[in-house]
Formats: sequence, C-alpha cells, structure tokens
Amino acid sequence: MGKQLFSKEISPFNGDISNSHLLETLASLAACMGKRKLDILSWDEHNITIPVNLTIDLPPLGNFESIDIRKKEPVLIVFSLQDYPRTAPVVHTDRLDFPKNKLAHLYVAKEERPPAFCYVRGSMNEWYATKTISDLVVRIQNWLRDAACGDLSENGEQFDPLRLEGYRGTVIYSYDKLVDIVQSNKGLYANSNFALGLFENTAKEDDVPSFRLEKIIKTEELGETLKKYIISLKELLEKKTFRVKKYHLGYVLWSNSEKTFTDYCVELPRTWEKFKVFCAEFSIELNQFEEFIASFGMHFFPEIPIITGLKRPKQIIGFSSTIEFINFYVELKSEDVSEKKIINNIPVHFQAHNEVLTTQKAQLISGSNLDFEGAAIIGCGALGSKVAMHFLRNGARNLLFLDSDKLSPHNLVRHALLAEREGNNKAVAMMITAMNMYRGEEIEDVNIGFPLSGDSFLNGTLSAFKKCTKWLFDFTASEAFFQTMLMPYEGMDYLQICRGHISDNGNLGVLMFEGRNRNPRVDDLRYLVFSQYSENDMVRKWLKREAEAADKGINLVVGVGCNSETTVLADDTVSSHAAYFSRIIKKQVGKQHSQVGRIYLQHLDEDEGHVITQQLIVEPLVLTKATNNPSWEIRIKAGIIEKMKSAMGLAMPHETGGVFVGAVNFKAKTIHVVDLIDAPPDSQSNPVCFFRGVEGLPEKVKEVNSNSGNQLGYIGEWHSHPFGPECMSTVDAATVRKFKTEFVESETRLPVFLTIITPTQLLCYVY
Amino acid sequence: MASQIKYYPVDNGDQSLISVEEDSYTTNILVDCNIRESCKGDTDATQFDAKKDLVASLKKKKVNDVENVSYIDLMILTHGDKDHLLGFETNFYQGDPKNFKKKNKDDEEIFIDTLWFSPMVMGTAGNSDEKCFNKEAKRRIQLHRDNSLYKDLPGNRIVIVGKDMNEDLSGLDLVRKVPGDVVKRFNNRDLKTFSIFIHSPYQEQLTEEEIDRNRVSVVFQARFKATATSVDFCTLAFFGGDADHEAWKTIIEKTKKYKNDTKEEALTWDLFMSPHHCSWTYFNECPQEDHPEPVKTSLEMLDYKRGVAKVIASCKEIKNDDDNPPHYAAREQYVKKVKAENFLNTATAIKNGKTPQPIIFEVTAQGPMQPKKKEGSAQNAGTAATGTLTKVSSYG
Repeated sequence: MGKQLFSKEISPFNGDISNSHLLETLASLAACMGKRKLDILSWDEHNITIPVNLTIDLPPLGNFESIDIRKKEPVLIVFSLQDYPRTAPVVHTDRLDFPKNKLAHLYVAKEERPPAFCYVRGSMNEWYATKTISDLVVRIQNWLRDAACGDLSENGEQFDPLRLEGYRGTVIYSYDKLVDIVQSNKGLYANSNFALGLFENTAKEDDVPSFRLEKIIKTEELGETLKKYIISLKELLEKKTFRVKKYHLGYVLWSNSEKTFTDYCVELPRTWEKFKVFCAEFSIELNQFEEFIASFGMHFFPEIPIITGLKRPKQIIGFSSTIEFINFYVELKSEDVSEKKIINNIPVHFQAHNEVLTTQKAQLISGSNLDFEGAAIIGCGALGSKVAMHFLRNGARNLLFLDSDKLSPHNLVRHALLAEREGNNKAVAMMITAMNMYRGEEIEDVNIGFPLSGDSFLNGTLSAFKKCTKWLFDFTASEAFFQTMLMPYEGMDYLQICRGHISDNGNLGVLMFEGRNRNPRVDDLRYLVFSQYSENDMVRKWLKREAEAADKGINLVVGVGCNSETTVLADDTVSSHAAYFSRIIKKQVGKQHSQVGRIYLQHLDEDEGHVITQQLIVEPLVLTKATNNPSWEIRIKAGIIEKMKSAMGLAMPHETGGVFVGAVNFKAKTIHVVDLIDAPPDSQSNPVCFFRGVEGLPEKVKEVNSNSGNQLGYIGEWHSHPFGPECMSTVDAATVRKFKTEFVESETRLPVFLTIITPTQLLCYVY
Repeated sequence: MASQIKYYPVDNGDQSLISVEEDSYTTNILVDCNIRESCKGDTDATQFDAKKDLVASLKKKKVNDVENVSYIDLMILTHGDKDHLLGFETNFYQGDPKNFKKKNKDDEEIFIDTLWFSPMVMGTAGNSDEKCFNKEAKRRIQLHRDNSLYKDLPGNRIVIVGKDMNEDLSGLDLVRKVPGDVVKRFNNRDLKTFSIFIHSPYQEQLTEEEIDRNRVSVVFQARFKATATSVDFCTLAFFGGDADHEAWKTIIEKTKKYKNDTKEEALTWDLFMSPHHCSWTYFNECPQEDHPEPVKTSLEMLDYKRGVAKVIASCKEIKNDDDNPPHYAAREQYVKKVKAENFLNTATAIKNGKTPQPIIFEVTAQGPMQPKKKEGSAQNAGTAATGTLTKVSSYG
C-alpha cells in the first residue's frame, strides 16, 4: 500500500509552527490517534498536512456496491499555518487508489492533489468554529462509514451531484430549460449534439466572467439574435458604460447516446486536451462541435461558456431530471484556431451553476403558496412598496402596480426600491424589479405596473385588468382615493378590498379588510375603529394624541402620507408595519371572502420598543336609504337597531328616543351611526310625543368628541312611534325645520338626520 | 431515525427493544422485561437504569384522556421466568384500558397495546410478576373468548404463540401464531420493512407431560428490509429466551423439513442473542463437565450466520469460572464461530464509567451496525448531571 499513498510524494515540514492554536490541536490529534508524535508534512507554502490512519466501522454484510473502503483508511488533514483555526482543516484521502469516481461528496480535486471530503453541508469554517479536532476525526470516520454503507447520499433513490470547489465564476440558467434541450436533442442543426446560447456576462470588467443564459438561439432565430448581439457589442465599444450588457455566445453540449454514467469526475479538465478526454468518458461527441466553434467567427470575447450535460441513471438530487450539467468556459483566441480545429491546448475553467429564480422557487423557499388570483396594489410608496416586495419575495404573481408618482431621492430613505430606480415611476419601477427578480418566468408580464393613479383602476380605464383582479390593496394613504373607493363603480362588489395605512406618528399600523359585498366597507371600518375608544385603550390614546396634535395646529392626518419630505418616519418603522400587514394578508388570501370585516392594529411603543397587536371583527352593518332622499345612505353599526327596539319596548306605550353618535360624509352622502346616547333624564314622553331633554347631553357629546379625537360626535336623533304613524308627524317636521335653521348657522356642517322607529319600520330622514 | 434493536444490560436477564421506523411511525416491540427496582436512579453506578431509558425510548400517546403515556405497541414474552419478566407488576399497566387514569401515567406505568405470549400463561405462575402477567393475559383472553366488542382495542389485543390442548384457548385461532408463521401485521398496521418468523414453541413441546419451561420459550427471527421494495433482508436477529439445545434441534429440523431455511432464510442471522444468558444449556446438557461436546445442531445453528455476525450475551460479566449462566465454555463456543470482537456481553461491551450501557444496532442496507460515533462540541456547559457536582470538593 505504501506506494499508493500521496503522502509518500510530499516532503516533511521543516519550518517552525508559531500558531499556538495549531500546536495545541496537533497535540490533541496525536492523543486522539494514540500516537506520541505525528508526521508533519508540507502541503504548500501556507499549509501543513498530517497523515493519519482512521479506523472505519464497516458494514457486516459487505460494502455497498463493493466499494473499496477499508477498515483502515489513510487520510491527510491539512491545516493552515497562519489561519488555523479560523480556517477549518481540509481532509483529503491519502490513497491514490481511493474510489473517488464512485463517490459523491468529494470536492473536485485541485490539480495533482487527491480529492477532499465534503464533510459538512455549508461552510466548513462555520462548522469547525464550534468543534474540535477529535470531532473532525469522528466526522471523517462517519463519512467513510456512510460511504461503505451507501448512506452518503441523502436520498438513495436519487443521484448525488458533483461537489464543486475552486470554480471560476458562476453561470445562471434554468435547469429545466436546458434539460428540455438535451432530452429533446434540440441541437442547433439537425443531428448536432450542441445548442448555441446567448449569455450575458454579468461580471465586472476585471473580474472572472460570470454568465447568465439569456436565451437558447433557435436555428431560425440565428440571424436576428446575432444582429442583436452585434448591436450590443457596438454599443459596448462606443459607450463604455456598465448599462450596456456584455454578451457572449456559448454552448450546451451533450451526448446523443442514451447510455448513462455513474462515475464521478473529481478531476475536472483544465485544458482543452483534458476536456476532450472528459467528453469522451461521458460519450459526448466533440468533433462536430470543435469544428463549429473553431470556424464560427462570431466570438468577440475569448471566454466561451460551454455547459455539458451528463446522463445519469437516476434523478439528480434537487433537480427534476437525470441530466447533470457541468459548466465550463474556455479561453479561445483567434491564434488558437486553424483549419476548423483548436490547435492549442487552451485553458478550460469550470463554473458553479445558479438556478434562475422563479416565483415557484420563491414560494418553495418562503414556504408560501401565495395566490391572490389577481391583485391591484394601489400606491407604491414607502408602505406599498415594502408590502408588495414581501408579496413578490413570497413568489406572488399577477400583481398590478399603480402609482402616478416618481421615485424621488428622498423617497430612498424609506422605500423598498433603491437608487437605481430614482426618477422612474414607482409602479413601473416595481414591475421592472419584479421582472428582474424572476427572469426565469415563462410569462414576461407576470406582474405589471402603470404610471396611473388608483382611480384609473376603479373608473374603468383598466377594465381588462379589473376583470381578472380579486384583491385591491390600497396603500396610498390618500383621502382622495379613499373617497373614490366609496363611489359605486361597476364591479366593485366582487373585489376583496384591503386598506393599510400608518398613523400616530408612525406608531400605529391599521390594516382593514372589507366584508363580503362591501359590508362593512372601508369607511365603516374606519369609523368603527374610532368607535372603539370606549373599550380599547390603545385606540383611545391614539385618537387623543391625534386630537392634541390637531389642537397644536398640526393637521390631523389619520393615515400618514409617507411621500412627503417633511413627514418624520423611519424606514424600520414602515418596514415593521409592512411585514405585519404582509403576514396578515397572506393568512387572509385563499380564504373565502368573509362575511365580517376585519381590522388589525399594530402599535409600536416608542419608549419601550415593544409591539402590541390587536384584531377586531366587525359584523355587517344595517344599510338603509333616507326615506325622503334615497341619495343618502345610512350605515348603522350592528346591534344599534336592536338597542332602539328594546328601548321602544321598554317605554311602551309611550314614545322614547335618543341621540345618534357617528359621522357624516357629504362627499359620499353617507351617515355612519356607531353608537347611541340615551335620552337625557329631563326628556318627557307620552303615547304620541317625545320631548328629548338636554340635561348632561352636551357633556356626553363632548366626551365622545374628546375620546374619539373629534372623529365622532352627535350625528342625529331618533324616536319611536310605537303605534305609528309610519311617517314623520307634524311635530317631527317642525323639529326638523327648527334644526335645519340652526345647523345652517352652525360652525360644524351637519345634515338634519332624524330616524323614526316603529314596530315594523325604520324610517330615516336626511335634510 | 433508522430502525434499531436495543439490548439492555440487565445482568442475568433479558430486555430488548425493537423499534421499527416506517412511514414516520415507530412500532416499538419489547421482548421480555427486566426492571430491577435497584437500577432506578443513580444510586448504584454499576446498574443501568433500564426503566428510565425504556420510558425515554418509547413514543408517547394519548390513552383515554391522558396525554403523553409511554406506549409499547407489543410486548413479546418468551417465557415467564423472573429474569424475563422482572418488574412487570409495578412498571406496566394491567387491566381494562378504559380505566387508565392520570395516576397510572404519573406512576410511570407503561401501556402495552398488544401482548404476545405462549399458552403457558394458563399454567401456574412461578413468581409474582408472572402471576400478574398471566392475570392480564387471561383478562384479555376472556374478552376474545367472549367476542367482546372491546377485544380489539389497544390494551386488549393479544397474540398467542403456539398451540396446546388447553380448551380455554380453543376457538382463538384468529389470534394465534404457530411455528412457521410469518407475521407482518402488527396492531392493525401492515409493515413492509419488518416481519417476524415464529420458530417455537411447538405443540409437541407444549403438550408434554412435564413441560420444560425454558424449552417452550417463544423463539423468533426478527427480519428487517432496507426499504419496502427490497427483496433481501438486511438484518436478521434471533431471540430465543431460554430455549435449550433440544428446542433448537427441533427448530432446525422442522425449519429445514419445511424448507424455510431456504425459502424464508428463517435460520440465517446477523444478530444472535445467546439463549439463557450464555448458558451451556444451548450447547448441551448441564453440567458441562459431563456433557462437554456441543450438540451438532446448536453448532449448525451458529453456522447460519452471515457476514460479520454478532452474538449478544445478555448476562453478567462472563468470567473464566464454573458459573452457569453465564458459562465460560459457552462463550468460547460462540467466540469460535464469530471471533471475540463480535461476541458482545451486555455487562461489559459498552460502559460509561462503571455503568454498562445498552448495545444498540441500527438497521442499515448493509446489515446491522452500531450507531455512529457522536461528535462533541467545542462549546459546552456542565449539566446538573456533572459528576463533580455531587461530590464534595476539597482544597488545601
């Protein structure tokens, strides 16, 4: 066996070891191996290596596929003289006859060296940071035991791909697309075993090339694609700017034979001659390809990517087929070619593969199956862009971005987009970002952005999109758009509408989901949040703070617009709400449109930094039109009418009544009723009349105003007609006239809103 | 986790746990039990806490409304001798499963879904644990005899191994297995990677006028396959209680007669638990001095080993003296067949300080293997079990 050890060919290390960690480790290793002294050999100028014999626990029924793993396995442990222990030891087999071509989990060997064990998934340095040399010895013993048992592969039913180390650059392509090329033998010409591809070199000029496969060029597209290629080259030469893409022509190469191969190739070719041997080992015919590449005068850059497809007997772990791709690029110059042959032994390098990102892959990585079935994201500002980026990164498709604003420099302080999109329309920039993320998508228009406001979606301008949209997300913080959403546009009832905004100096995030058939609607949800002041401490304090700010002359903005330079709001605050909103939305998507509305609140405590969240469920409201003027809609919180009926019953045979708490929206011609104030104690009534008193009433209304930050207050009155009539009486009409006269002169503009409840009817009057 | 067999160090006694992993479900099969009260806790470093480890190894299930009950899918009793049933009375739940209460769980009573036993349970018990076992077996038998609605509920299930002429067991053939049977269904679940070949006891042994309790031990071969589609067995393990050379002779003759040695590989083994705690009775009559030559069939049985097979002697440390069991001459016979490195004595094979540890074999496609060595860490903290914490430190 002596002659078959690599260590026999390397010299003893004669230098001094000054690294105290290394000295201690060598002592531990000696103890672990039961040796008084270790042989220290020189690996290279920076590393030493220690040859040791490891005892391996072999399986009782013989090694898997009779692989030649022995009870005593000689290995070489390589230590960095300077960087140990930050740099983990690398362990190589010492056997020159080690069955390296039969085993996965070996790194591709560096020239003239035996291969190293891939003993940890991920970074060896990270693993070794918490381990000792004896742990490493155990791990290598277990590696060899697994190899003997056939347990090295994570999935014995599949083929473990080659481990690459020491690659130069990466190449990005869709594995499945290349598999289709190989399996269908879609060569450039009939019977050719190679395809031509257009590759973008994404590396900086002085860096080693990294490629991204832009497209496989079909024979019929050859002329057109080469034209594009030449134009890009011209631009590159003229403009010398990084904005111009640098294209290389490259190849996918495979075997036409159906034969499959199990052998690994841990010594990848580094020269053209060895590349030819490599191809021959895997039955890849090279003559026709060499002739083409040598005579095709379109290679303006010497680096030519060549992706070779090896046919394996089982599906490759982590991929969908039996084809394993090994990626190379050659450096071919004009002087290397003569008479349709490559005459010099040109350098060959291998590259790592990166799979293009698809929404499907993003969903897999995110553990998400987000499917909006079409969603319009109105408002791509700070909040909207961040929530949308969460959706995108979860692999969401079919998003329509709408925003009429452009990305200004100050937006970068709290926007998901970065400086490269400065000056672009925000919605279009989101679309481009999405496209760039998912270049591997089959459909290019998976996500679309238009430089338009949300109105264009509602008013029919984008009717084609509206038809295939299930969700509408409003992140505009725009009161104008909020009002627009209350307009009775066609097709709105089928939408699931969700609105998110930030308030309370950025400390409160409010996310609202409308109920089925827009009941409750966003305006209902807004007022019902305000009506929580009586029972919800978080809401009461928030509204009070807003009211105090209003008193100080600061405009009360419920829903901060983040696009203003003057708005003080940190990026992390917006991100916190955006992440919360995204998580909640993901939970709701896919569920049946709920009959109830939902409000989610997230409060960020400014002092302590903790986070409080709440969820409120809002039952559908009672909706009715004003009897005298059906253009007015009355939206009454669930339970209010029951309270009125109950009071009517209790007061029988007398009439009774009270005051409504709520708000009016003249634009939408809507009155919201969220609560009742009982009739004051000085009220009087008989079977035909109710005289609403005044005692304590102003104080109660003031309390409502104060606790709701002036968002809610007196909005109208009601009384009962327990025995009819089912219309206003003359007394009622006189009161209305009196109130109308008064309200016209009032500072606060209010309609006269009077409601009569009878045992069978609810009669609302708005004047 | 891989399927595995764990042989507990219980001195001269048997306790083994077979754990079959299939479709994310572990079927736990306990073969005999031997839980000494003195092993519990850490008062005696020379004894392994077989109860604590057993409880930790079992999956937890809900029984009635009680959560996290330690649950054995089936317990196979080879025979009722004390060293094969020690601690049954106090450590295992007995009685109607509907009456299992939180108190039973708090008392760490282990719930047994199915009981496997020979017809010997109908006879006279030789010790208090056997008395309890027989009582529990009879309770379950009665439900089956009565065709009770509850007979097939977990905690009531039974399998009778072997057939005698006892009329009380007549009509129970649906829950009976006899030598030559291959069992693949356990607790209403068909297993694809595990089966049991029943070897013994035979009817003629059970119906002898004077029944030899050891001779009628339940003997079986536990058979594992690497995957559901594998053709070959990757682990074959023999359990034979205290079966003596006569019993093994019958096993070999009958198995060969029905060609199950070839058809079913029913005599082949990778792991062989030396019967009767490495007693000479496996090889011949005692005393050994009077019968020094091993009988041919016992040696022949050992020749059915394959690959690097292991013999496990579940007994106290085997010394070169006249003790029996374990018997030194018996050890020598085993060593001749498998080499000393493959003869594992539960008392000495693996030790943590003074405490013997269970011998575990994991099922791999290439045969049963002891677990991989465990890696340590460069970052640790002492636990409450750190030895020095329980000892006085003296400083001068």
